[in-house]
Amino acid sequence: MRIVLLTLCAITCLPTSVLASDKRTVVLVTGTECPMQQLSALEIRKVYMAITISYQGMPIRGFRLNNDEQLDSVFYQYVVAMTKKSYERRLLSLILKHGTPEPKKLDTPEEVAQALRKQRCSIAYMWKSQADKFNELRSLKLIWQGE
Amino acid sequence: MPKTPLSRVALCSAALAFSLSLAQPALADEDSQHNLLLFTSVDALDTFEESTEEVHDSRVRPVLDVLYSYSGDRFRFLAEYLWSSDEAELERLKAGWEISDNSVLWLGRFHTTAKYWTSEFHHGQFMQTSITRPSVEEWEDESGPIPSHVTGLMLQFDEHKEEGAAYEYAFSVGLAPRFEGQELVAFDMLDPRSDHGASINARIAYTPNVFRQMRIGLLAGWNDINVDSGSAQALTGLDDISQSTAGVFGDWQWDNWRVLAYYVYFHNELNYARRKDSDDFVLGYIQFEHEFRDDWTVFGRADNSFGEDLSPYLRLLPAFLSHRHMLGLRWDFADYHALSMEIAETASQGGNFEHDSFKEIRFQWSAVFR
Repeated sequence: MRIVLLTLCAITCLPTSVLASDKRTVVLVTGTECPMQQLSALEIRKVYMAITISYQGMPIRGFRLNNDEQLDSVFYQYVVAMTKKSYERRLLSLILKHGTPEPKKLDTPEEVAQALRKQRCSIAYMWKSQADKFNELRSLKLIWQGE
Repeated sequence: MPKTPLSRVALCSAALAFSLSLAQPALADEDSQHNLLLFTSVDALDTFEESTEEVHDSRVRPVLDVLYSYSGDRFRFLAEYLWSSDEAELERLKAGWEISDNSVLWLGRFHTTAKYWTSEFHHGQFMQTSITRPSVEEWEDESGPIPSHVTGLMLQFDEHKEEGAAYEYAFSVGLAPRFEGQELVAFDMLDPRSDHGASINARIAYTPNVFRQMRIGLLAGWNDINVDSGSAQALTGLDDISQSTAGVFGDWQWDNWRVLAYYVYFHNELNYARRKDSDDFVLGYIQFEHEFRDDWTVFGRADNSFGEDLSPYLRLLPAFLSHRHMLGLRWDFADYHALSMEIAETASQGGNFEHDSFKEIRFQWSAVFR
């Protein structure tokens, strides 16, 4: 009984950052130099739908990671809440209409970290295990956690 | 002097280079983004029964629309050039400054804000479900009754509300087309010598959800259309046309259904040297679309006109399609390709008081490459 209680206590007392360090966690990240504390789900969705949102006068840009289908499916389902087809057509339509820039796709987490360093308070989503490798990134929001 | 396609491309390239050189400081920005889209299509048309000489009996028409856009920190640039088997034209060339979040001031040649379909799909054939455009939304050189291309200034502003709702405003002032022969002719940036009147257009729209295709709104325009009275017998003595339009539109998507509708009231004053004619009528359309099995869409549209039979203005556009009832089917495949088919019963305005009726069948392949 004592062992069970100790185990339960150990789990519940763990900081969320430790729990969230599971490989199957997707987080929204920004640069550590950005003072922004939170961004609502609606604002995140707007950023990724190419609608300009600013923080302290600077437009927040959204970055995406290429070549990760599982990350993509989390993005479509939990960030923009659209099918891939609808999302891609929507961005295409905005380019056609106004030349509106779409969220940039980058190939590696290193490139994302570099982009977030250069563009203060911009955002990206990635696996928490990837984000933890970069001191210049901090997690802003947990987007998805799964098995 | 008419420009050859080659010299137009050279002039277009020069204009592009000049515009980009103006934007040099912005181009150095790491936030910059370039996009190149190629909209292509090939459509085959057959008309039968009572076909008129204004409408081609049969044709195959390949089209390539090249769109380049650049966006920097607060600067935007967009150029669009269209080639087809029967025309080569610089469609849009505009530079924009983002003066605040979600507001852009554009300078250049753009599509009028007073037509819904035109400002939604532009020349991106693949983006529109149907092969044909509604007749009231036709381009100037396809007997469109409302100017499509304006050269001047345009201000766009989106006012975002809570929970994803938004108001969208657009206002433009610029140069209207002229009337030559049997069609409107837009101001040509590559040959800017001709005499053009003013064009003022406005649009306000409301969307309860910016993430979905849900929009209703009002559109209005006023165009001072100068006339080349020597270019056609029907234009003899006609100095200019003052055209006022006011319309409503809706574009609503729910589940697998989409409805697009636009109805516009016209008031035209035709100013001859010794008299004045005027007319009032309503043109519009309603299009239904239903997507099934993810990649198939069945659609239909009714292009309607009310009170246009005796219009002296539309009589100047005998090939204008005043009525069309159309059904179609589209198959989307390989991400950005589509095959479509349409059948329609159509009536053109005709040169006198009687419409010319015919039937048409169309097939099309459309795609976008990027």
